[in-house]
Amino acid sequence: MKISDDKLVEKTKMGDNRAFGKLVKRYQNKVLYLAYDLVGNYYDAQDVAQNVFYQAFKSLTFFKAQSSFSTWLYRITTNAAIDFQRSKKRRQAMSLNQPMSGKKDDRELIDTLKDSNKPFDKKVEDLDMKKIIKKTTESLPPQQRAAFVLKYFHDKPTEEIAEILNCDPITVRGHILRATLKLRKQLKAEK
Amino acid sequence: MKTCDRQYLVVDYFFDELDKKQKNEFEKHLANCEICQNHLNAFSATAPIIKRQKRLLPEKKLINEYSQQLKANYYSPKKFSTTIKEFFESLIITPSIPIRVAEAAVLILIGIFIGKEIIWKSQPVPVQQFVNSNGYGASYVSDLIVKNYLQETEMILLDVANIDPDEDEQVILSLSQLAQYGSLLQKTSLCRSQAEETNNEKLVNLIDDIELILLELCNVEKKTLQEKIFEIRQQINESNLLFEIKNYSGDEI
Repeated sequence: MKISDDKLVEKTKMGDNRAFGKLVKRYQNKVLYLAYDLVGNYYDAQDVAQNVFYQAFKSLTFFKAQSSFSTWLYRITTNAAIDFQRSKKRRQAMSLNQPMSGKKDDRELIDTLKDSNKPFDKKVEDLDMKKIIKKTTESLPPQQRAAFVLKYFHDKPTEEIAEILNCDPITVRGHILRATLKLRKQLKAEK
Repeated sequence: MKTCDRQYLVVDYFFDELDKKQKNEFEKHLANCEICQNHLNAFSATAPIIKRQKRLLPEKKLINEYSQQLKANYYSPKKFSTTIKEFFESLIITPSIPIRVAEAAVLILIGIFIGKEIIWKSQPVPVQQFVNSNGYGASYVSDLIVKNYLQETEMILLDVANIDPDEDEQVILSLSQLAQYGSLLQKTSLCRSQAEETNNEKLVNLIDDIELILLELCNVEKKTLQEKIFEIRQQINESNLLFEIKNYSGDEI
């Protein structure tokens, strides 16, 4: 029988660290993927995710169950990823010889070309689309990007996204609308 | 750029998050609003492309490293000794209400068990339970009880016989109380039953005599003190009780 998140949270608060272990196990992939969608590569995403679980463990005593545990954890992840991006940009601006890494693009290329079910021209088209989507999402302001990612890649309803981002649902709708229109424009321009 | 005050509802409409009433209302609006129609077209053209893109999966090495680190920090299998230690710590340091109740129940049960053991052990020990060993008689313990009882009664009766009721009324009353609170009458019946078990007729007779005098002594009242004490002293002298007690204690036990 699957124990509910609430029960595991309660147990963790009472000092049962194994209950928190179960929560980590349950959410480790979701947190990693959300972090990846927000920071753009898995090495940074891994650092963000580790930090997320550390912060969650530290502040679980203050979690008052006004929202679900998953929403709370997504909020920590989103904030951690946004903070990480900001500090990374600052570091990059300060660094004069920023190392260039084409590694992730190569992997993306290999992964797409490996997909043997599709014809070659379709694979190339997919790769182009992927690049446009990635480029566009990376150019979005942090909150807008988070709203876009949570809606399209994590299938979260607008109300929950508003809870995660700690803002009004109208703001979330605005973020998603603007991001979608921007992407539409980019895709049109590429064609 | 032209805007519509209901344009943001396109998002909820497209992702099917409006309730039936809102949906009907928005569809009516949509039929006449070019801006919302354009937005909806943008969603319809873009969303399937985004959804079609598979997320790049992490390298196996990275995902292993990530899982291992989380495992080590949060859900590594514990040693059996650690689990046991934590279990006992949780009982003492952070017990939940059911555990507290269980602890209380266990403590009560232990208390009852210990209490029973002590009470059972303090019960008079039947003579036949003692095994003849180490050179002692079969009724060695019971004999000791009878001997103590006789010494106790001898002391009280000696005092009663020697004290003048005219001079020391308070002492007599104290002796009466001593006979009552020292549970001499209970001891009397206990010793008689021991004597009966061992078929010691002489001792049974002696205890009967003692009992009569003790009863008199326990029932002494201030008003009739002098008469009563006089009667008791007469009984002690007539029955030669003190002599018999001395004899019995010295010779037979």
